[in-house]
Order: sequence, then C-alpha cells, then structure tokens
Amino acid sequence: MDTLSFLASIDTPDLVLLFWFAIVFELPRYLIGAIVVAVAELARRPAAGNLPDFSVSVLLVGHNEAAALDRCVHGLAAQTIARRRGRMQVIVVDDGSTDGMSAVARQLQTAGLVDEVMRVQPRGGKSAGVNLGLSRCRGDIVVIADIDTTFDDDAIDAFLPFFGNPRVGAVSGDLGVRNVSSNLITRQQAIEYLITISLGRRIADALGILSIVSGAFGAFRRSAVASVGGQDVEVGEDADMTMKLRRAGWRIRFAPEARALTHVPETMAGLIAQRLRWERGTVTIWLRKFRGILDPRQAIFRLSDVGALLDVLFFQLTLTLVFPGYVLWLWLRLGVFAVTVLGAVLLGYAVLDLLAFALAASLGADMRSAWRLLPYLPWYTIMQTVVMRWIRLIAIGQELVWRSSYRDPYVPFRVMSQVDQA
Amino acid sequence: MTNLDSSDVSAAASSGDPFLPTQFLVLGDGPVNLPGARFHSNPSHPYAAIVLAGPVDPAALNDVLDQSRDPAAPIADFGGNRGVRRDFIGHALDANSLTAMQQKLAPIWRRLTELPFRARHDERADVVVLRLAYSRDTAIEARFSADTVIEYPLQGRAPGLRRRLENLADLGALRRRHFARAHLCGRCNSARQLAYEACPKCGSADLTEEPIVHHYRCGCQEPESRFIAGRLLICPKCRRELRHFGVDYSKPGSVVQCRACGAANAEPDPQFACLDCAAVTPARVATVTDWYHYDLTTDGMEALQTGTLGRSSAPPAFVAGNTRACSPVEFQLLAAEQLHVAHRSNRPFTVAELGIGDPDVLRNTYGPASVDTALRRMAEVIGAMLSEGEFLAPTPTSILVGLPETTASEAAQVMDRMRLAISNAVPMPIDLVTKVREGDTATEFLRAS
Repeated sequence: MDTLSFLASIDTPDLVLLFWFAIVFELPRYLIGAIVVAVAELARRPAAGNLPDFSVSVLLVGHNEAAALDRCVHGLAAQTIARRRGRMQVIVVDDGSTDGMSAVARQLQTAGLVDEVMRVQPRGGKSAGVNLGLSRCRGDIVVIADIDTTFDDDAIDAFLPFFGNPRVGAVSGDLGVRNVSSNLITRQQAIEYLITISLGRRIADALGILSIVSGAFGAFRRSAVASVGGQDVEVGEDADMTMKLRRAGWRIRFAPEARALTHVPETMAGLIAQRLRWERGTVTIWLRKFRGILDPRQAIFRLSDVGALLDVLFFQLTLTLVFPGYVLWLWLRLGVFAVTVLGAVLLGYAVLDLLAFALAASLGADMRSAWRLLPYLPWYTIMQTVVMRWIRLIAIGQELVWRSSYRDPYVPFRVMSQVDQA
Repeated sequence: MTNLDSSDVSAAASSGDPFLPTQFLVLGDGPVNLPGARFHSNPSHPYAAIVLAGPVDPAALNDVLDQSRDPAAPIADFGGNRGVRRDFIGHALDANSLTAMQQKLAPIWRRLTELPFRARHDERADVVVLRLAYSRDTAIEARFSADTVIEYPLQGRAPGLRRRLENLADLGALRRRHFARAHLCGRCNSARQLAYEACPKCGSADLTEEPIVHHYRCGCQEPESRFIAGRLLICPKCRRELRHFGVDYSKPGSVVQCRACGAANAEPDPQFACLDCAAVTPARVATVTDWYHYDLTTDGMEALQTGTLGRSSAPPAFVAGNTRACSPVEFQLLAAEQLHVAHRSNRPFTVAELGIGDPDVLRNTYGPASVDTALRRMAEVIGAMLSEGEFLAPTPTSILVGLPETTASEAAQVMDRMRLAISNAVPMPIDLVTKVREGDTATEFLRAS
C-alpha cells in the first residue's frame, strides 16, 4: 500500500523522471509500431489475381539433419507451386554430415522429391553450403530454408507477388514455432516470434527498414543474390546478405502469408547458446561491417538504410547497454526502493507486451492458436526483461572485447580464422 | 565305395596297391581298350570311376550319378567337358594317362572306401554334397566363372546347388567363408551384370566428375573449373588468388555433372545392365546375394557317418502324412516327456526299435533306394497299428516306436505282430532286428539311438 500511495502521490514530471527509460526508449517503440501497422493495414491492397509465373529453386543446406530432412522435403512436395509442373527445383546440400543425411537425400531424390544432392566433407559452414547450392539453382527465385522448417502449403507461392516488383530483391517469410507446446521455454519463444517477427517485421516492412531475411525461411531473386556474390562467411550470414542486398539497391519485403514453422530450443542452455550467437552476429554485422551506412559522404547513402541500421543499433544495442545504467541510477537515487520501481517498470512492460501481443495475434492467420499463449505472456515479459536483456548484454560485451563470434563453432575454425585475419 | 565290387578290389590288390581299382564306366565316345583296366558302358555294373571319353551331356551324367551306388564316384574327363565336376582332366586316354588318373584318384578312392556311402533317400543329394567335400579332402570352394559368374567346381553345375549348400550351412553341416557379393537382375535374376554409374535424374552414363573448391575467406564454394584461370586458382566471387591448400581453400568433395541433362549431384547412381536380358536395374533395388566357400564341419562328418542330417527337426518326407510319425529329434523330446510322466505317475513307458539287420546287403541286392522303400512301408504298417498316444520316428535304418502305458513284455508282443505285418507288406525279404527298452533303460537307449 505504501508503494501504491507513493506512486500515486508523485506528479507527472517526477513520474517521467523516475520511469524515463521506459518512457523515452520503450513507449515510442510500441507506439510507433502500433500506428505504422494500423496505417499499413488500412492502406493494404488486395493481392493481384494471377501469380507471377516465376520458377523457384528451394535450397536446403544442413549439417546432420537426416532426421528432419524427410519431413521438410515432403512439406515442399505439398506446396501449391509443386502442382505447377517444372516450376520448383529442390536442391539439398549436405554440409559435412555424419548422420547419413546425404543417404536420406538420395532416397528422396529417388522418390522424385529432390532434384539435386550435393555433399561436402568436411563441413564448410552454412554460407559456403548456400553458395554451393546457389551455383546449381536455376529458378528465378531462390527460397532458402532451414531443414528443421516446415511450411504452410501456399507459403512459397505467397512470396511470388512481391517479386512482381523488379526492385524487390528479397522477401522475408513469417516464422512461427512448431514445438510450441513442449514447455514454458518454447511457449515463451512462440510469443517472442509472434511479437518480434510476425509483428516486428511487419512494422519494419511498412517503414521500409527491414534489415533481415531469416535464413530459416526467405526468398531471394536469384539475379539479386548473384549481384552481391551470394553469402559471406558470417555467424549471421542471413542478416549480412540482406544488408548487402539493401546496399546494392534492392528492396526487402516481408510476406506475412508466407508462413513457416521452425523448431526452437527446448532447454534454457540451448536458448542461451542460440541467442549469444545471434547477438554476437548483430555486433559483427551492423557495428563492424555496415556502420559506414551512417556516413553521408559515402557514394551510396540512403535514409532507409540509415533507418534500418538505427533500428538495430538503437533497439538491440543501445537499449541493452543503457538499461544497466538505468538500474544503477535507480539504485543510487532510491536505494532499496529501486526494486519497487523496477517492479512497476516490469508491470508497464507487461501491459505494453499485452498490447503488442493483441495486435500481433489479431493480424495473424491463426488467431485462436495465438490467443492460447496469452496466459504465458507474463512469463514472456519476465524472460525478456530479466533474462534475454542480460544475455544480449553479455553477448555484446563478449563480441566487443573478445570477438567471440570468430571462434563460434557455427562456422568451422579453419574457415573463420581466415575471415578473422582479413 | 559301393561302386566297387569284390573282384575289382581283388584285381587292385593284385596290382600291389589296394586303391588303384581297374573297372571304369565310360561315357561319351566308347568303347575303350587299354591293358590293365576294364572299361564298360553299363551304369548298373560296378565301376570305380566314370571316364568321360568324349563330350557328355551334363544331364545324362547326372542321371547316371543319380542311379549310382556312390554318387561321389570320381570323374575323369578326357572329352573337354565343361559344367561337370572333374577329378582328373586328360587329353588322350592312353596307358600313361590311365596311370596318372589312377594315381590322382587313389586318395579319393581311399577315403570313399573308408566311409561307405549311406544316405536316406530324401537326403541323398545333401549327403552327396558333403561326401564330395570329404572324399576330396577339400573345402567347397567358389570361383568366378565366365558362364555362370560363380560356380563350385567340386560340385559341378547341379540345379539348386547354392540353396542346397545354404541349407547345409544352416543345419551346421557346413561352415561359411565369404567369397563374393553378387547383384542380381531385377527381371531375370541373372548375376551376369554390367555395373556402371548413371545420372540419378535421367539415367545417362555420360557423366563428368569435378572437384568442388571452397574458398574459406569469402565462402565461395563452386566446381573447380569456375576457379581455374590459366595455371592459377582465382576465386570467381572475390577475385583473390587461392595459393595455399588447407589454409586458403580446400576441396571438400566433388560434383558429378550429367552431360545429357545438365544435372549435378554429389554422387552418381550405380546401375546394372543385365548381360542376359538387357534390363537395367538400379543398385538400390537390385537383389544382393552373398556367395560363400564352405568347409565341412564335425556335424557334417557325423551326417556322413549316419547317412542323415540328424539335426533336422522336420520328419522325413517319406513319412509325411503319417500322423503318428515325427522326426528323430521330436521323438527324443516326446519320449523324454513320456518318461517324465511315467516316473511321476509310476506307469510304464517303453521304447522299441524295429531295424533292418543288414542295410548294405539290401542296397547291394535291391538297389540304393531299397532301404528307403523298406523304411517307408515299415513306417506305414507300424503307424497303422499304433494306438492313441503312441508315436514313431524313422532313423536311417530303423523305426523307433514310443509306447506309453506299455511294459517291455507287452511291447515285445506288439513288436512280434508288427514284424509279421511288415514281412507281409514289404516286397523284399528283410532281416528285422527288434530292441525293446522300458523305463530308465529307455533313456540310455534313446541316447545311443
């Protein structure tokens, strides 16, 4: 009661002063997002009646994915585009697997579900595998997908209308969580995917600042990919190629109807390892490789690229770095009462997350499944604020100080050591 | 060695070597006259070896061997025959080659004489397989053949030979040693296959293989031809020179490109073209057959000595349909169970045996199938006389009978009635021997049987 009466007694300037972090950094983010999505939905035009007649190559690159390959390929065989004979090519690249993945791929090839199977030994890393597969792609559009991904039957066709615009170089698909009901950790990630991918990329798309086409499920114009030399050796190779396409002048879009489900980590250790890798990649790509975007003296200077970069730098790096300062500031100013204020901040985040969740769920195709996650929303807020924010901070610190991504086993050491020396 | 008669052995003995017989069956061109040997062309007359003096139809030779008293009799070929088993190969049948033949075949005759041929009618072909290995003192070796791909020279080209060898190995009479794996045509099952690599997409064999080059620094990974610039390797993506294998770049695999359809794959599809029917069978669906060498085992030797593959759990074919009949193995089990019951309930149980006194005399007099014929009729007669719960099993020279609730004296009376009935039913005079054992003595008797 003392806490409530204290909070009720303070005036607006003091309230702003106390909760400046949330009000300055977080509130605008949600507000801008809500407004942009509302406008975009109002301005949305119905899709054209006839699909552009593009041929599509689907590229599946994996390491030790024998168990998942069969389901993934059968999901592709069920695609609506597969009914249009000769319009879809499926290429599997076995990147140094030791679990018999290429044998499974050969069986699928025998069954007529895979067109070409490539295999390298030892593993060369995802980007090298993608580049090898790209050299065999013959479709106008190349869909790159993770092998543990499954697809809505019309997911690939949902990409194609965007490529009717010749300036579009890549289109991101919408990703959900397939193993959502496994445990609390996967449910938390399902809410996260709903808010950050289904809603977040919709907002970025509406603002023209979409900066990542996920390697788990995305479509690329083959000529665009060829123009930037395919993928480079990076831990976040998908974000890197997206930014290269942006810098080459290609537009990046988001297709919410191109929906796929992916398998997310089911343990806290797995989740932390994945996020540490992702966040380190963020530092490498945006802070090291593409920071020149902010330089107006560069030959190619675009405000949309600046917006894309600032979106990442601000919301992923700056917020993360400032938050510990805010906590420290609260502690120095209020002492133990800072815990109460942080509790109130957490409550505020929960309300904002509820709004974002409601918006994302209402826009999604499977609204009923989305709403089933509502009881787990407080858990999501706690995880994001108490766990994920600090994981991000650790990853940024590791990358800035030790360049940890250059030793990440995601890319073989013999390969990454060459990149690190470059 | 039942092809030899006493006169032949005595003639051999007079020559100083008891294992140089002198009577031979000549097939092909005949007649042959050479001093010191008697050649004839009548398969029913005794002979120590078959001499193929000219080309012989393998089927005709098989017919002769089927009727032979010892189907493992040696064969000497002077006619350039193929596809038949041959223990001696000569070019011209003269005195010198006859001597050479006799010396070559002497060890075989010795072993054949040491262990006379005996086999139950339905196991005759199986026992002959074992007997050939034993008498030639060798393993049954497989070898590649231009005609049949794989053959067993020791056995000749008998139909169903591989299946017979495998059955004998399953029974423990032979031990396998792997020789080769053959792929069979999906249409005609021939093993005469031409293996080749084909495009997995279109089946064409017009393929080229090229290494894949992985440039570590920029992640470019493409076929080597895209990197070759004169004598250098230049990355097609970043234009850097690749100078140091293992540091700048590696070759982590190869790509097989089809010149017919353009498809590229990590591996081609192995396929087989049949040289007999021209059908093409992909390796993944071709039936795989493993071929083995076979060694005679102690069980196999036991089978040769007893004349039957005693480990078979199936009753012999000639008692099929006889509801009282079972195999010797089943008889042992049933008898043991009945003995156990008899002990527990203090009731009698008797095992009796009605045997042919001198089976070799019967064979020599009435032919090799006579023992089996007699046993078949004996089993029929005894089976018809048995009551509920009583059972029988044939051995190579006798019929075992299990008689629950019967004392030894009662069993002796039953045996007398059976002997009388058998004498009336079997069309040849048989010296029948009867043994009767009751209770614990039956156990020892069964073990000996």
